[in-house]
Amino acid sequence: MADVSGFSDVLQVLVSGATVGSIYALVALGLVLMYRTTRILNFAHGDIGVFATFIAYVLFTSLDVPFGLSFALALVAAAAIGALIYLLLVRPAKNRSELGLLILTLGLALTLGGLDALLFGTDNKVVPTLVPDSIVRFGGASFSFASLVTAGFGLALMLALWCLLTFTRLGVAMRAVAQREDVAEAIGLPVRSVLLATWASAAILAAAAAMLFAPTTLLNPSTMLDPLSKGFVAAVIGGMNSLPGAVVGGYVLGILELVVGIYISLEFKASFAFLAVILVLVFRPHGLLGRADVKRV
Amino acid sequence: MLFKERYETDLWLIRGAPGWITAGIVLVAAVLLPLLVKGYIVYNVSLFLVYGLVALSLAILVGMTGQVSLGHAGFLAAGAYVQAVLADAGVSFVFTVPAAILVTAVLGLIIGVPSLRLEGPYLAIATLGFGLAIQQILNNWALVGASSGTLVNRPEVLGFDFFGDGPYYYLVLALTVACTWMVFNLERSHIGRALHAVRDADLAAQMSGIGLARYKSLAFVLSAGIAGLAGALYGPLVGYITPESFNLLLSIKFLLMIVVGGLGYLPGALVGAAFITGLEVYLSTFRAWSQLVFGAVVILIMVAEPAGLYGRWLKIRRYWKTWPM
Repeated sequence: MADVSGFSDVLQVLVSGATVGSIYALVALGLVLMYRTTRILNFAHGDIGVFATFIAYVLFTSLDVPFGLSFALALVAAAAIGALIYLLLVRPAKNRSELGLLILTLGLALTLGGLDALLFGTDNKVVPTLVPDSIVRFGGASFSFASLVTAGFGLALMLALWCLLTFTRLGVAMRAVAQREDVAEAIGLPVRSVLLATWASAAILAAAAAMLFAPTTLLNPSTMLDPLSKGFVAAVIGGMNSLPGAVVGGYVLGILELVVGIYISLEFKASFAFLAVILVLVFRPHGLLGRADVKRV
Repeated sequence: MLFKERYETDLWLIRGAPGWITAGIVLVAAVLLPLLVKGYIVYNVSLFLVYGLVALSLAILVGMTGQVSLGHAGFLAAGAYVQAVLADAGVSFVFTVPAAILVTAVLGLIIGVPSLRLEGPYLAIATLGFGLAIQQILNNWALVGASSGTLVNRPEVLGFDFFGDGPYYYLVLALTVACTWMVFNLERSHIGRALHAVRDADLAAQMSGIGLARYKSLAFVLSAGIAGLAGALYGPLVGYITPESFNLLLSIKFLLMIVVGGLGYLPGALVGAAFITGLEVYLSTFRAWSQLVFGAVVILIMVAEPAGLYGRWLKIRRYWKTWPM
């Protein structure tokens, strides 16, 4: 049991929790972006990210591309994969119900996972961090430099997404489609291109989250299973149609999980997120920042 | 006989001579099966029956009531563990099964009541959380063997030993057929109609005097109870249960079964369970390719046929019966 009172301990927990939280927030952001625009609960999100991470890994180890460049190329590849999934599978799908599309992404997750295992093997691989790791000391607490960069990179991506949605024509169109797809189409917005862009952006977020997460553990086809389920929890805690909610949910979950692990029990940490989401939904059925859809009979 | 012309036809469980002949053939084939095929096939058919029960339970919840569950492996686990722990303490199978059903039904109520206000993605993630939480709790519970799991013996019922794959198959078959018959009856009862109404338009159903809270939680309780029965049968069937065997993938597979089979059709749930279980057994010989092909088949069905396998069969049948010559 650690001493709770020290400022350095609190700082340590906050920063370490925020580092994990930024991964959850990135995953949740991708899921929410997808859900509010397309009404798809994307279970293939993690596997798209893992696939892109494998691409970066192969570029780096087998083709000797510098890791920074491999990282960037993998983001581009992820965007292409996301766009292809939309064009080849989601758009022609005849089962357009919310549940049918959910099942489609489940099938996609299995397919991508199987493809990973076939192409890259199921053994654990070590993925390098974006920058060389060292220990940073601040305010009596010590942090890993690489994880601080992870958190910073996550923040930068969230900021970029916010700028995209607020200041660009594409972003405004994406918000319009998210609000009322039929009206957006009626006023002449190219809805299909907007949905394509949504799939591509969500895939980039997925790839970034997976590539930032992979160095903290080992890379194999099921690396993203845990962050994906936590990302879903974060998204739901924040509210499935609220992007700020996803970010808040991610950070709150990351920090709380760490606090539970340290001060309550390590065994309880694994199930904490899943019990927390049920508890939050009992009091706020649409998440902390989400709004209920207006429904008519 | 193709379209329903009178109210009574809507009430018939099995329609006309073709229906009775099909049902008879299926029953006779099911009874004769252990005499005709090898042991491992009997084992896999038993597995299909257990999964079929879970698919039926999920069909009550998702297909009839329109509530999604991504955590049904949690109910299956609860049923299996209750049965295993009680059997370990020397309780007879005659009592462990009802106990398993009771405990999971209560669990269904506990999870169903807070779910009343949830819909769409929120319900999906809440139930997903429930399934994962159950798995994690079992993982850390020393009484039930934690992550290393626990052994489950085939039961002895009233002096009758169900040790072999064949005898145990008959036990599973009897309980599955009884339960299937009950679920099919449920759909054509007033409860089934109320659940359909809740699914299609919950506000309108409420205005017609259907208590939403009552019927939604009833659907959860029934569904959980049947999944608990399936769990109680699953443990002795596989002989060894670990928390890992009730993972998220299993919950997902149950959902795949009912959607691939045909959402909203009870026979579809059984067709889907047979299809997914069979596909998995068949693909397991290909090892590395199995997951890829499995996912691809699911995608194909979702892209090509919204009504699922059973829905496709209905369309084909209607096409032939209304053929003008």
